[in-house]
Amino acid sequence: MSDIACIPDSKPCRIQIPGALVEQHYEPTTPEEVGAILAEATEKKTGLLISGGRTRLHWANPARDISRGLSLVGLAGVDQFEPEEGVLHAAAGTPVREIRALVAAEGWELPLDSPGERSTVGGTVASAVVGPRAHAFGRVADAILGLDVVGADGAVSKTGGRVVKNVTGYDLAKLYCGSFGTLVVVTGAWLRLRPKPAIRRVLSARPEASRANFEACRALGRLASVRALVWNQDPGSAFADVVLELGGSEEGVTHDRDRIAAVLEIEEAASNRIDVLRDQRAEMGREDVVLRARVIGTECEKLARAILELGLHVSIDPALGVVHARGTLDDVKSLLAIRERARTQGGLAIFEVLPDAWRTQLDVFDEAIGTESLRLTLKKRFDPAGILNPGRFVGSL
Amino acid sequence: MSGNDVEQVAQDPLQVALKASVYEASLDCVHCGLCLQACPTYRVTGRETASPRGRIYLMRGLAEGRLTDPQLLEEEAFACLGCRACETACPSGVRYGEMLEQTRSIIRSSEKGFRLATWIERFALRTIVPQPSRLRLLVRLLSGVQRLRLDRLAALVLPKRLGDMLKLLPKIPSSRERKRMPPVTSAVGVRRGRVALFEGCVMPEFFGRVNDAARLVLSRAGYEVVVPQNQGCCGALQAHSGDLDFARGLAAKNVLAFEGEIGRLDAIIVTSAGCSAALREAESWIGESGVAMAGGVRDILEFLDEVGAALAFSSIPKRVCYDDACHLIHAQGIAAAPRRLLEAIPDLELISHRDPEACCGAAGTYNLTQPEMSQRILEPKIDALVEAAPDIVTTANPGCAMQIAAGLAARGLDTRVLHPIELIEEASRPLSVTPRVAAPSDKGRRPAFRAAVASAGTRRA
Amino acid sequence: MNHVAPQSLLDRLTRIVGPENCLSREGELFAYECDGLTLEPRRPLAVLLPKTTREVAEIVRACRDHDVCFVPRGAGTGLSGGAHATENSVLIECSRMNRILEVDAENRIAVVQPGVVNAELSTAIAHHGLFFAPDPSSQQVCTIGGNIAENAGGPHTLKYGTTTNHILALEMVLPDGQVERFGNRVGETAGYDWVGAIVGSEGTLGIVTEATVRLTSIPEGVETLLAIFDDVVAACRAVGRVIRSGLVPAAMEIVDQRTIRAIEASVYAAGIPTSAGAVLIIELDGNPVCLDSEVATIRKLCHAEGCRTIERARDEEERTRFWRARKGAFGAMGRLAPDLYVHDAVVPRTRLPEILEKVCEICDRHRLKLANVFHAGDGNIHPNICFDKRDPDELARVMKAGEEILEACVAVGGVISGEHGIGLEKRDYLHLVFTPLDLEPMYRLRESFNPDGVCNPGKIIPTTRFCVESNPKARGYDAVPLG
Repeated sequence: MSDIACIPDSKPCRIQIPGALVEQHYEPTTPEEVGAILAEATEKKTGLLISGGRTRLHWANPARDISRGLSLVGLAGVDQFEPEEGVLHAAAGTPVREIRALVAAEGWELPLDSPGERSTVGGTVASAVVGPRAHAFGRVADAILGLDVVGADGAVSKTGGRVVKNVTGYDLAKLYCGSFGTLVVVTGAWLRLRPKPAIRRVLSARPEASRANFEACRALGRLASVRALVWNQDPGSAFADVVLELGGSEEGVTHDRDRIAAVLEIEEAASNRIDVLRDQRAEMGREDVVLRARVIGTECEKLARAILELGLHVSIDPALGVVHARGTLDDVKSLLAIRERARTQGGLAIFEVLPDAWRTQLDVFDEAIGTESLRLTLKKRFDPAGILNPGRFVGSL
Repeated sequence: MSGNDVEQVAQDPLQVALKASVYEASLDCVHCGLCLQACPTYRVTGRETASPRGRIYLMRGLAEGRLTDPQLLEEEAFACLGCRACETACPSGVRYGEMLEQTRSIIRSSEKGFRLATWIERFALRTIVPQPSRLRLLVRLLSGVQRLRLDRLAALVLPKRLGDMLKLLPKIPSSRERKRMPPVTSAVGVRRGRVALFEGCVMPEFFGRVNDAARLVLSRAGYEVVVPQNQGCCGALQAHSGDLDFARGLAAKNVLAFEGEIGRLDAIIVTSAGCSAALREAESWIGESGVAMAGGVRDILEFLDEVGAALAFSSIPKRVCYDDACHLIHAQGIAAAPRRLLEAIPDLELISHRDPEACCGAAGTYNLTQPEMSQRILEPKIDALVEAAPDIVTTANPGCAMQIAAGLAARGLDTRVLHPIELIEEASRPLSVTPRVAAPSDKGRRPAFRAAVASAGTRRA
Repeated sequence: MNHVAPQSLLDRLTRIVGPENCLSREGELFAYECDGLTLEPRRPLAVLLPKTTREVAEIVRACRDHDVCFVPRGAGTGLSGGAHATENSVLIECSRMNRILEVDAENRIAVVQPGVVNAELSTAIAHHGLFFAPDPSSQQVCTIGGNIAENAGGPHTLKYGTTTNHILALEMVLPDGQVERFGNRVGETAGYDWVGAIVGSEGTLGIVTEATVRLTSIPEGVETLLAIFDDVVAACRAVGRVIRSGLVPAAMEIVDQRTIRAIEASVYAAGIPTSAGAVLIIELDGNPVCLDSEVATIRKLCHAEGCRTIERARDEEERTRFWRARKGAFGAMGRLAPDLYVHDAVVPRTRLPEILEKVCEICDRHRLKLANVFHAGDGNIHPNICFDKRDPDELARVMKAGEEILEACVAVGGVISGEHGIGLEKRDYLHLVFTPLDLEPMYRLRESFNPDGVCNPGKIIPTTRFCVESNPKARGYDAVPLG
């Protein structure tokens, strides 16, 4: 399978990731080249850092024995777009931003709201990262119809298909999505588009940061045209900044806008407000700690309050129960306490940014209870030599 | 190993009989399983073989010789309630009720050796039930036992099943109350038509007041009511116990009894759902000669609704539940008419309870032959009725009424269980007559029906 | 290899579930020899009806100790033979595990046992204004466990997705007898998506013994429309226009002329003129203020494709009548012959007209009676072919036609199953869609859960023993053949 002649030369780079500094990477331009690289790495048992737009490389456990990188930016471009069907096929290295622009012209939108200008399709699929519009878009996996992948042994394969309903065999796309490049390398994806809303409105409000207002916002999140709902609050502030994005038909949006106006004092906001909020999440500020916690809706307010009390800024979707928090913490124990609280309320907490010293004391990811032996077994079958992002994923896989 | 596809070389009589009778009909079943959740025994046990799909598959398997041991079908055919809720659910129109009857008949005919239980059942159903004088004797005996309060003592001494039966019995009306029906009752006011009343066997003994209520209401609705004298048991219990031949004989006798009148009747009115369903099967039991009688059968509630009986009702301010008898809703598709009639009564609040169309577990003699399963099926029905908490429960079948009343009594409740026609009769009664059935606290004189009917005349619209 | 269950196993199983829940009589095994697919029946060694997770785990361990396989089963209404026994196996029937354990209406979550009937879950939560969105046609009897195994759909997947979009967490007995939990109440984990991999795995990775499901708000308003077209191509094009207009109806179903005629000739007649080329049923739901203009848009679009008439249901009764024009197909076809094959495949929606023509041509050539119903909105076709399986020639023609239909669908970019799953029925057709390299990761997934193949072997992908494309040694480890 491995054909040494197929492997492109590696290029110098300087990528700092938790636990390693990568100074050479490959930039293949075809899936076969990807296959050759992986096959050789498996044979030689050398770890690879798989990357796309490099928006989220810090979001990982400390790497183990990674010497080189494999970048997918060379596999880019939308090679099939079917406006009549509402599906498209893009290579993994295609920036999500590019697809958004392309499909908008045909009355569609891409239900992927990953933060960051450079965010790629492959990176979005591998990390399953969502943005504020997850409210309407759902999970990343919901947008995937099929994936083209390359295995650690170099084998090129596909899963799923290009149709919206498909129960042909195991749903491997679900397994690959969110696997952080530890099972396979995604080289392409068939994506399902959704209709672009006829009209869009963005509203903002600045209500008092009371429990009553929070719960009122959570209820507003159920309105059909609400695409994104963000409650931003600084620690110690008596007020919150609320942004809602509505989309749909004229009647639907007007109806919902009126319902919102009855509860909050709203103003029209800039139409790209949600995009700005979204992309801020990809920016590395001077925070020590950035986390994403999620609990069931009725427990969200309590979680948010607990996190605010620790002195962190929060950006919340009350309806989904998602709390993004950023700031500085004194003690790793507070992070663990947040995770513990989230778990007891049916959820989880992921630590996207944290001081390096803390990385050895906890796991950035939160898989949920008891699946360790299965995880190790599965990983062993897919990547026996452990070359794909070793050490970076859940349980330092 | 996969099912045996080789047909038996020497075909056994059961296989031959099944092949000749139910096999063709069993091919209508496409094995989709939509009947499963409609089936009370499946819901209780979760077993495929206790479902219509499973039973049909067993019939088909035995007929084709792919299954050799008939024992399971023998058990399951009689463990089935025969409620036919599966027919309502089936998208392919499988005639399950018919197949069940034929299968039971074949099984009984091919039974070898003597079985006491079967013999007793056959004796009771052939020699006592269809003979009014013998049945009356038995009932008088039971009435005596009840009056002397010996029923509880007897229940301790007798085998459990007979003891349970005793407990199920409602208060048997006194022989004075069980008077005969007049052969002809004239219509009140303008005569719209003429109907015959089918009395049945159990009804006159235990629920004579129901037949009487039907007679009165029909007459108030402008119908002359005749009660042909030679009519007899409809044969339902016998057919369901696997004695199709005897049932056919009973059907033939009824055809004769109604033959003379049939040309001059608008309908043959029946107050028991089990009986009307059986009479309507006359054609499939005895062929051409049964067509006219079967075609003329109407359930009392179906008929009143159909003809748009213009009755003037007075108020019955009670909360009432209507429970669908299986042989009315599933075997005959009658569900809306009884409810419409009850809703027409002023101040009567018709309240729903959970799963009214679910079987109560009475199923003819099922509560005697399969008492444990009968109870398991009754439980959720009683739960639902207790939850709804009506003042009165109504149902259009005597067996169901007894079963439900016994179930409520076992929970310490004395909620009245009536046939809807009894409420309709009371509501349409001329005001001068008391006491009222629905208000047991009234202590009144014996109702003078005839006087009331005679004086009502054309005052009522 | 066992043809009859070893007595010691039966004794142990009887001790676990009780004698009335351990079935081994000939008639009982016979009745369980197939599910909704009556072809390729096979009797299990025994049928178990457990009531609790613990009983399921003990059954699995007992089976392992006796080298016997096991196959999970729900209501047995599946159409791909997923609940058929395999060689040397017992069936584990989950119908007695039918309790709804918890409903959290505010957070729209319910926790249920796998034997809970789909429609009964929705009925039980209706008073909260909630329902369970996946609504397969068999929802009156099919179970949540079965829905999970098959990733079941139904007419409303167009708007609400399939079962996989509604499962948050699972408890499962693994093939080694351990009980494991996957997922959580928010439906998001940061690790492998085990729940996503298990849904649709057709009972080959273990036995689900509890599910945490997502509930959906019952829409405030519903509108149902019935449009009659002169031909099915126009109806398909109308569907395309609706989708391009940006509307997302809750359901779009088309029924062709052959089907209309079969329905109207049966007791399920819905009053559709038999000269109609196709019937298109569209259901919209959501905020009532939007529905009027959405209906107007759809009317316009249907007329643009030349529809003869388009009616809007005035009440619940009329709505039921409209849906009968679609749901009556099964019953009507079922009465034409002893057996009915309900095919299931998917094509890109724009290729529907040409595929329908091809399906008709294939069935005509094989002299088979055909009715076409399909979920037009997502390109999921259901050719219904009625036949008599006792006629070996007709049966062969049905199978050949089925194969040709699948090939035709794949040729236009479709797949071989949209709802019914692969099971037994289509295991040998996976190669139409997937190469051996594509199947390899599926083996890896299955073998991670089920290394010695005791759980429902032979479904979806061939077992290692019979698979000629996949050499165990090439995968770097030895697979242990069973029996």
